[in-house]
Amino acid sequence: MEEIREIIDGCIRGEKRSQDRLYKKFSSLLFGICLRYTKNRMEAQDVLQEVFVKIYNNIQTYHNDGSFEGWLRRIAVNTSITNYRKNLKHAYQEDVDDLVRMKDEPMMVEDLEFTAEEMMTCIQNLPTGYKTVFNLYVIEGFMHKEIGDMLGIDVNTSKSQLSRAKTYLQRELAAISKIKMPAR
Amino acid sequence: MSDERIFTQVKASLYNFSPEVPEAAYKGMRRKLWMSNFTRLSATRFNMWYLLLALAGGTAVFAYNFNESASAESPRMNENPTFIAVPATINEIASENAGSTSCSTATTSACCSSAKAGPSATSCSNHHESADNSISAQATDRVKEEAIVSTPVLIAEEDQVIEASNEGVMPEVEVVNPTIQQRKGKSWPVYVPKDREPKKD
Repeated sequence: MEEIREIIDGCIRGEKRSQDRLYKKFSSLLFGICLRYTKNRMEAQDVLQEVFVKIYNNIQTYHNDGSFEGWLRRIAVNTSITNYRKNLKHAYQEDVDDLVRMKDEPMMVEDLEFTAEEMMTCIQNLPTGYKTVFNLYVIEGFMHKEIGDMLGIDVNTSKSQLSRAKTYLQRELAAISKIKMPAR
Repeated sequence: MSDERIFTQVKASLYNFSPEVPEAAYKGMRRKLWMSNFTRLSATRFNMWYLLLALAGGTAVFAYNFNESASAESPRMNENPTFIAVPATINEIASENAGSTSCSTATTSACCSSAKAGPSATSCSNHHESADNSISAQATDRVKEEAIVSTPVLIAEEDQVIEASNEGVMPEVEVVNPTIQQRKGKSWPVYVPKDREPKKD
């Protein structure tokens, strides 16, 4: 805790050494968040860079009223949502493609343990709209109303997108489990 | 697999998921941070706005100095009344035709008028020659007027001309570049190539 306070004070003073320490300490965690909201590692890198620029420029606004890690996470999520909004023009086409695929019956997933990388791959393959709603609801823990306000969509749209995301994810996980089964 | 189980498993796997960050991300972040600081309005550090301010100030000073020097270099163009044009070559022509002046006056003489009335041409042949001279003098005047406009001229200041006429010696005169003509109502000269005829207004 003392170390974090020291890093924050150094960053407020604009010290490069403190900025680098902050980057080393939290870049992996924030990169994981960015990966969940983006399509590939390159896009995630871009978002991560913007996240750190925002952190360094606004670190003086952080007061010790909450977890510093939570504050960083929130910046990463907000920046990812901004990035999602920028790329909204491509979202419609993906959704139409997905509707065609959704006609298939969802497959039952066996009780298998999936690694984080496998989960990440499945989530990254989700269409952008589903992925964003799924991340916000399941991992960040927001309510549908909050998600609707954040993304500028209706509550029912948020619910339906979550449902479709779940179906889509089950299909993807089932495909992975099929590959895993012979290995057992 | 129920919804709850899927969500729990996904959250447990991904909430603290921390993959390795590529090296290039750090360099890109530093570049973006520098750019952000450079474009941000801040009084405490050097940034784009200071640079723009300095550039604008420099440009204004340069433009002011340039205008000052330009107006200082070309005062003569705006002060035409102090100069007079003396067509030297035409003066010479006029002096050669000095007799024609007397001849033109001679045309009004009684002798010549009587000659017009019908006397024999032989009795007044001198006066007829004088009459021819008067016609050529009028033509010379026209040429002189045109020449003032179109030919290269020698220019001297009025005072110098007056002094010189008193002393009986012409002063050294300044030769104006024949390829530069002053434009009517404009403050700078127009360059006319030597191989081209000057434009007549």
